[in-house]
Amino acid sequence: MTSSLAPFDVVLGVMLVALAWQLLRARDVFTGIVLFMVLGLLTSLAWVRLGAPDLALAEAAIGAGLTGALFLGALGRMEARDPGGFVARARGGASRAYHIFLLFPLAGFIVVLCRGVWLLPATAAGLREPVEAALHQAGVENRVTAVILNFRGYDTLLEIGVLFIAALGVFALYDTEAKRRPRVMPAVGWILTVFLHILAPVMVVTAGYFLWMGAHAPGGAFQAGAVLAAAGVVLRLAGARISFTIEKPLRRWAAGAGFLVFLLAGVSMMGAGRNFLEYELSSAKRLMLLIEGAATVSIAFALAALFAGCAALLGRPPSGGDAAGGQAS
Amino acid sequence: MWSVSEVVSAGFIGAGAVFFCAGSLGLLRFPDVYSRLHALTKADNVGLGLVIVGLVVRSPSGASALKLLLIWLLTMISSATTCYLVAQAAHRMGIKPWEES
Repeated sequence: MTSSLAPFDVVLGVMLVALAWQLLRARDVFTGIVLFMVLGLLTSLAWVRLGAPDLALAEAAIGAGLTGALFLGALGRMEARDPGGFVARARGGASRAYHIFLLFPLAGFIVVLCRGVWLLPATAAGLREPVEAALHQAGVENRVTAVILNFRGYDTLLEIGVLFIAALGVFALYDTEAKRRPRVMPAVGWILTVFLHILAPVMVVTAGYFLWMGAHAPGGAFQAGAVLAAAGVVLRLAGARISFTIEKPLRRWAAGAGFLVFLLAGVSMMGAGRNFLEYELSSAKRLMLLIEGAATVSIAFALAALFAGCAALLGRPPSGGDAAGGQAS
Repeated sequence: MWSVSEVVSAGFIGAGAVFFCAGSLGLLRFPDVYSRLHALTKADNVGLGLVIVGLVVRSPSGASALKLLLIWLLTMISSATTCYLVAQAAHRMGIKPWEES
């Protein structure tokens, strides 16, 4: 962090805290969700200022974009069952004495955290030197990708496995409801469709760009997968008949490809006489690109399935309007 | 002490910041959602365009300048579309435009 940008950093920090406070004080859930998305964007800025552009990309795509869409979809579904129940709830509940009682341990915790951060050395290198020393064995130039996919590949394998299991939960709950519910076209005009004719190909190319650049610049499988999932989400919102369930075998392969390819890559190394997930240097880059490509597809499918599973009420027709798409108002 | 390109780019970025402030002022002060959308999309797009021009002036290569211009183009398209969608949703919810009373 350069000292000439210190005022910017201070303003950003204050805004983060103020925004979190406003978020907790929000009177209805919709306001809270919108504030949460703004908080995600500001956190992405904070990552940039801390020198972690990969994290900033992932935070902007997933934290500000996809999670916001998930929350809004869930809110729509909750409001259909309980109209008006989540809007501007009265601030009843616990008494003021209870709040004051909670304040002391909370304040103590904040003091301990601040003191811990204050005592950190200002120029700690962290793990930079060991990673730099071992970078020539990784096969890629981007340090983050080297750590994620090579040095600590086992952790990433398990993370992709966790995402896959979460998607399995959605698949288990989603199918039966989708068949029972009549499908209603969302009531959007032609502008969103035209917009998507431009944007969806751009998003796919951007995802491929992130995937390719992950080897030597900020990027990688998670960022690419998040952008692809966002493309799937917007296509669903515009009424495209794109399904994220696992009835067809092709979609099953798409959902499981990331974990499967990663596992097979690791096991195949054992077949060649090396340890699990110990890549050979000459083929490391291609192998990692293959793993990242499969992981991108799986991550995108799982995240889009998470959204599609909660977007049950998007087809709700407007009061007094035509439900089918295409009206110009 | 500053080179010409730095002064020019600072001028453009400053002008862009002024437009952003104007857009935020409109967001806070205008009476209804349609005029606020008007202020937000128009002023913010121009502000972003000026900031991008300021960055293009000091960009290290032609490729990064093209990427910046592409960012501006995509932001303009998406903000125009979302402005329309928000206005359509507001109209459908029954929000009437503000009348001078």
